[in-house]
Amino acid sequence: MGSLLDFTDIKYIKFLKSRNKYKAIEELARVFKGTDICSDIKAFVAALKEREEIMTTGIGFGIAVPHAKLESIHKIAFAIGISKKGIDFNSIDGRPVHMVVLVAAGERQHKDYLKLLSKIMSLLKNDTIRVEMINAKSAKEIINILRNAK
Amino acid sequence: MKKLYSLLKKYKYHVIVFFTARYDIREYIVQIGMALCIGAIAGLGAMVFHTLIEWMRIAINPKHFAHYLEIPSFIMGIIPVIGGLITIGMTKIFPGQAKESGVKSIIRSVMLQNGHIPIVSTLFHLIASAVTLGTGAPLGPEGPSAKIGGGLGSYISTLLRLNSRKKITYTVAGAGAAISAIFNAPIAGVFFGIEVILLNDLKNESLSALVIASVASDMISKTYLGNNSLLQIPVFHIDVTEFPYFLLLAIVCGIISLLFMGLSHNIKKLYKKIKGDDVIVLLLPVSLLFAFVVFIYNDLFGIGYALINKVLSNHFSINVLIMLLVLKLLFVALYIQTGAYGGLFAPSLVIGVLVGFLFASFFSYLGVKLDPAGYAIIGMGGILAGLNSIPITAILMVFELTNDYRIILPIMLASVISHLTVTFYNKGTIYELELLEDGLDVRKSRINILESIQVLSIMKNDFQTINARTPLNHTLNKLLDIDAGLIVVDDNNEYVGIVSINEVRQALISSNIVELLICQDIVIHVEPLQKTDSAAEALKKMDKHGIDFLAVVDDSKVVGMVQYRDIISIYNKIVIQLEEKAMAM
Repeated sequence: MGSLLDFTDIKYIKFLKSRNKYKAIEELARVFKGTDICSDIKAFVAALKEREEIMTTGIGFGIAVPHAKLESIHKIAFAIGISKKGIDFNSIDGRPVHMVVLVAAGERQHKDYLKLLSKIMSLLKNDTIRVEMINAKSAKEIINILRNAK
Repeated sequence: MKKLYSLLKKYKYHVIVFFTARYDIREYIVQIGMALCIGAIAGLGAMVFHTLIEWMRIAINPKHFAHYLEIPSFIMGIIPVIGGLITIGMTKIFPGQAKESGVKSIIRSVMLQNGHIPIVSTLFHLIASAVTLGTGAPLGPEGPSAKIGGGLGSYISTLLRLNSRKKITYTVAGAGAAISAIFNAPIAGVFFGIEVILLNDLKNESLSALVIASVASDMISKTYLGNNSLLQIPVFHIDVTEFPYFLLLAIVCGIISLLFMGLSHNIKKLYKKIKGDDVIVLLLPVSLLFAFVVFIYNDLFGIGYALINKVLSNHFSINVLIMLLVLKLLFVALYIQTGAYGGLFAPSLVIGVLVGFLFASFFSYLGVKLDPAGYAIIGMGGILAGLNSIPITAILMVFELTNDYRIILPIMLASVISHLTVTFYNKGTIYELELLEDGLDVRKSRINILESIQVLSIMKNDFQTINARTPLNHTLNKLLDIDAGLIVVDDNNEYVGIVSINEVRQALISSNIVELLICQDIVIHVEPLQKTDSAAEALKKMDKHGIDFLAVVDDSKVVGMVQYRDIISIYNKIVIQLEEKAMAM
C-alpha cells in the first residue's frame, strides 16, 4: 500500500457546516459525487448512517472515522471534513468531533480497507499531526501535512 | 488312503494350478464361503427379528392379551401407545442411531461410507423395529430386516478387517439375504438388492455374493419357518382375455401409489410445521388415534399378513374393505412420517390386496365377472412396484409368495405399468427422491460427483455465530479459538455474512483499528448456501470469494456450515470408491 495521499485528493477535503453527525456525514460523502470513486452516493450515505447507528465511529480526541464497504464504491478512498465548531458524534470520550475522516471501499477491497484504516488511525494517533490538521486553514494545508507525514 | 494318494499324485499339476492361478481362485472360494456365512447370519438375524415381532404380535395383540389377563379388550387397546412411547424414548436416548433408519440409510452407507453400518445401529434397529411392529404399528418388516442383514454383513466385514470394496459387497449381500429370509422369497431378495440397494447397477461385483447369500438365508428361513408361504392363496380364476382389466388395474395401482405419496408428503410437511425436526414425538398422538381405530378395526393391528389372508378368503363386506383401505393408507403415512421404524413392502401388499379386491368387486357389480381374489393378488404386485419403485422385485415377490405361475403375466403388467406411472409423474423412484431430500442425488451421472452431493449431506451443525455489533477485539478472540470462521448474524439472528481468520490478518497485526471496528466492519457479504445447493455450487462460491467455508441458511436463519476441506474429503472418498469398483470389474 502506498502513501495516504494516493487515496485522497484536495477535492475530498471539506470544511463542514453541519453540526449534526448524520448531516455532517452526508455533507462530506457528497465530495465523491460525480467522481469515479462512487456511483451511488445515496446508498453510500445510507450505509455510513446504518454503520453509525450500530456503534459510533467517534473514537475520541475530537476525531470520527465513519467508514463503509459498498458494491458501488469503485476505488478505495477517503475524505476529510473539518468542523471548527465541533459535531456531536456521541464519541467514546464525550467530546465534540472536529475532524471527520470518511473512508470508502469496495465490497471486495477487504484487505486494502483494513490497511488504509490502520494507516489513518496510526496517523491520527500522532497528537501533533492531529492538532495541526484540525487547526488547518485550508485543504492545501491538510494535503501538505499528509505529504510531510508519510 | 492309498487311492487318495495316487489320485493326488495324478492330479498334482491341476491342484498346483488351482492354487496358483493368475486369477486367484482362492479369492473366489473365500468369497463364496463368506457370502454363504453372511447369508446364513443375515438369515438368522432376520429370523430373530421375525420371532421377536411374532412373539409380541401374538402375546400382546389387544384381543389375545386381554383374554389371558381376563380384562376388557378395550384396555389393551393401549398397546400401540405403549409401543409408541417406547419407540419415542429409544429415539430420544439414541438419536444418532435412530437417524440412520430405513432402506435409504443402507443405500447411503453403500454409496458414501464404504458399506459401514455400526453394530450399535444394527442392534438399535433390531430392537426398536421389533417394538414398533410388535406393538401393532401398521408398517412392514423389510426396511428394518434389510438394515439388520446389511448391518451384520458390515459388522462381520469389519471384524475380519476386509477392505472397503468387500465390505460394500457383504453389506449389500446381507441386506438382500435378510429380505429373502423375512419374506421366504430368495429371488425377490436378490432383486431387492439390485433394484433398491445397488440402484439397478447390474454390473456390480456384489451381485454373485448377493445371490449366494440370499440362497443361504432362505435355507435358514425355510428350516425355521418351513416351506409354508406367508400367505394362504385361495383357488382363483383369471383369464388372459381379461387383459384390458389387468392394464386398468395397473394404472389404478399407479394412481393409488401416487395418492399415497402425496398424502405422505403433505403429512410430512404438516408434521414439520407442528414440531420442526422433532417429529418422532408425534408418534404418541398417532399411536393413540391408531389404538382407538384398532379397537374398532382390529385387523389393522400389525404387519397385515392376517388381513391379506382374510381379504383373499372374502371375509369382509365392501364397506369394510373401503374403510380398511382408507385407514391403512392414512395410518401408514401417519406412522412412517413420524420416523417410526418399519418398511413399506408389507403395507404395500395390504393396500394392493384391498385395491385389487375392490377393483374386481366394482366391475362385478357392473356386470363384468372378475375374480376378486385373483385381482387382489395382481393388486399386491401393482402397489408394491408403484409405491417402492421395485418392478422386478414386486413380480418375483408376489410370485414367490403365491407360488402360482398363472399369475406371473398379469403381475408383470401391473408391476411395470404401475411403476412407470409413478416414475413418470415423480421423475424418480421413491428412494432416489428420499435421498435427494437428504442431499444425495443418485439420479445424475456418477462422474458429476460434486453436482450429485447436496450441501445438506455434508454440512456441519457445530458452527459458531457472532452478532454483527460485537467489538472487533471480542470477534478476534473468538476467531482465534475456533477451527473455521464465524458466521455473522444480526439482532434477529438472521444471516449477515462471514468472517474468517484470513480476512482479518491486518486487524490482528495492527492494534490501531481494534478500537474503531466492530464485527460488521470486517464481514464478507457472501451469499449463503441453501440446503438444496450442490457441493459444486458451494465450491464455486468459495473460489469466487477466496474463502474456505460458507454458511447454510434456511429462510435467513443459519442452519449449518460447509467447509472446503469437507467437500474435498467426500469427493476423494467417492472417487476412490469408484476407482476400486472400476478395478474390480
